[in-house]
Amino acid sequence: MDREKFLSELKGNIVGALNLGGISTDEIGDDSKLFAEDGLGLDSVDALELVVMLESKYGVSIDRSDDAKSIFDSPNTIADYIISKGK
Amino acid sequence: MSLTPAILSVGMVSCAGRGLESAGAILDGRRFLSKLSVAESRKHSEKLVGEAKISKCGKLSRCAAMLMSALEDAFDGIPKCDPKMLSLWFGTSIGGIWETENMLEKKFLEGGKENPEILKSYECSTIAELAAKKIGSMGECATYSTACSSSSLALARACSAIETGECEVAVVCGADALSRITVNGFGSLLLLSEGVSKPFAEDRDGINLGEAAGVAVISSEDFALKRGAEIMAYISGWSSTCDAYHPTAPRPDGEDLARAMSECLSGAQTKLYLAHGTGTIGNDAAELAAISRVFGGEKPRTISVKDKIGHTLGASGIVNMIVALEEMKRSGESSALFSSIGFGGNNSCALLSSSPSKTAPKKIEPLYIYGAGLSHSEAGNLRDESDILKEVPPLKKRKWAKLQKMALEAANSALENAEISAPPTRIGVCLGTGLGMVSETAKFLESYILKGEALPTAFTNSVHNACSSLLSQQKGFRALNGAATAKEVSFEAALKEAWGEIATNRADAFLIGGADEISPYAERFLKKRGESTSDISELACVYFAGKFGVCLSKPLAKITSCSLARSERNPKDEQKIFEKFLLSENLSLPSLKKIFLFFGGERKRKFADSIASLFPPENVDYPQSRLGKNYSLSATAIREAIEMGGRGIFASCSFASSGMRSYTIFEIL
Repeated sequence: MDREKFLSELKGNIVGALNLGGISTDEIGDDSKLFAEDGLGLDSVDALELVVMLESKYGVSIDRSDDAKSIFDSPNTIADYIISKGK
Repeated sequence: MSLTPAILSVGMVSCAGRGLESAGAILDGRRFLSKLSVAESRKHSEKLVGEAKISKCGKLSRCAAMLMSALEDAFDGIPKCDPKMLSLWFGTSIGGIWETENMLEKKFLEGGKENPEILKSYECSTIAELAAKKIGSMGECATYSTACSSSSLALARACSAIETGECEVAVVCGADALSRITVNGFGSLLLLSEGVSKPFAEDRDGINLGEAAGVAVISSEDFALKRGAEIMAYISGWSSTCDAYHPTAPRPDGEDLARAMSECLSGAQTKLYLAHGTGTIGNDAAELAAISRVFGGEKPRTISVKDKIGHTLGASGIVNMIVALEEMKRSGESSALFSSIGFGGNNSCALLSSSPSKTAPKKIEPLYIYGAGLSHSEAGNLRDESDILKEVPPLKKRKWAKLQKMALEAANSALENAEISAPPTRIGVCLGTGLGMVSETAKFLESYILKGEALPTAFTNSVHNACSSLLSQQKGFRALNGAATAKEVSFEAALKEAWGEIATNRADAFLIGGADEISPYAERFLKKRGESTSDISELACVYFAGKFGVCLSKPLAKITSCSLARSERNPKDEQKIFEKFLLSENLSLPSLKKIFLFFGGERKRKFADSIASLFPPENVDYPQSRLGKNYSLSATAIREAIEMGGRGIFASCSFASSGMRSYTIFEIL
């Protein structure tokens, strides 16, 4: 699947998992800092929702020892992580 | 005269066994954790938990069975007293949900039929009712469900009620059983330890869950001496505060926990501290910060039981108290401080003392209402969720469930013109709810059972105090944060809790209200009683109320009295009780401009009708016919009277399906 389509689908899944209904996927930049105040301003519980989403949509799990925050830095870093797990 | 609360007897059931003997085993350092077996979990079946050995429950839920065992052991310590002055308070985070989960699983996975009896166990207040009937209590009976601080708040209410003379003997209970929702919910928050938890250790990695029930029989010092009852220890201080910071994470600097601890100590010293000590990175850090703040260099000996028997959630407060009692005996310490910290930022502490302190009775002054707000929608005409709190940006309110938004909308109305003169640390939130956010609990369980997905936000929203915590966070109110559940007298239970804090000078004002939603499960409860469901509603009704002068603005009304007790069996007998009550308030039937009546089910309608028959029909109002059925409906009476316009004295009576009833007298000014 081409990267652009993959990212678009991923952003859709992020919006769905975090109930960001008021935002369109176009508004989320590929390098948007998801957890920054001036980015999407997500918090620690959102990170946990993303853990659930990653598993259910991509079959990818995050070990406790992994740094969830750096994996979830931006849509690009999440995409890289999913691809690195061979999915 | 001294009304210092005194502990007369205790009972406890956990994986460590029963009673003070088991408390001793815990203090000896014995560990009773084992691999999870009673609750199903795809991901966490290898985790260590504290499972109680419960012989056949019979018809009782696991949680109720544990509580009844603990109650049995404490029972003989209950001195003879007027049943109307014998009250019971119960703290639990999830009640009998284990059984509800089993039933749901059968329904979803095996296509089995839903057993309405098991749905009954979902209502946490059912377990308190069982216990109250067992001890013959005719006084106040309420359940507080504020996650891990639940039984500590039940204890706080009991102590305040003894100080104000509202009751003579209080039976304080706490219980929580292991369940799918807690194991998988905490798992989804990555809070479970991989092995045995290490409270306060540098390399701590989370909690072990556990289950337990604890009971303490408490009376005033005077009453105990009068009855020749042996006193185990005194409760010389208690204090509950709220971080108003985050739905699950504690304030990192432990400021509000420190405040609760300091208020309990009130300048005294102690060398013994029973910590909340769960073993999570965040909780322990906040607690250590609080201990430093309060004790400085003179830190007390700190004990956590949670690596021995697990985190027993709603029971953890009362368990800590019982273990503290045993340790005081063993070590000869003359005092012990203990804490509970819960989701929603609750901190509730109490100080045990081997010597009495003279405590004068506290008077209950009228409660002044400075604002009222209502958010309401009816079955068949439900408000769109996006319609609520339109002024709040979607990103900000995306994690708030509908009922939370309605509660905040009502609170905003109540605070609209309030010029508050009390500091936020003296203002709390107490909301009553019959079912809590059952739709979030259902969302969590359905997603877990059908898809194997444990949703973190649904889990954190499924605690009964999710609404009151949101209000605290949004308004910055940091006194006690409570969530009471008692079916159709849930609002009155919340009112009594808030009023007790104000009467004992622990707070100056509260947001007080009731909130209940329409969900498929709520509809099923009503159908089970043979009630039609086309006329139910969802609502949140919130008042800003407190001491006279807490707002610079003029008060709209004042509540002069609220009697929350068990009804007589016969409507005619109850009618006499009501008339006696009016007399005791120096009121006669013609004094009342209007009477509002509420009831849960047709059998209770007869009680309402019996009271109504005392008044001319034009002075009687049954709001249910206009506003629809809702466990929190009785909260609307005061606002209805305000909206009527003009001054006058009113009464509001609610007859709950549980057999509890409330009489509230208020005056529109």
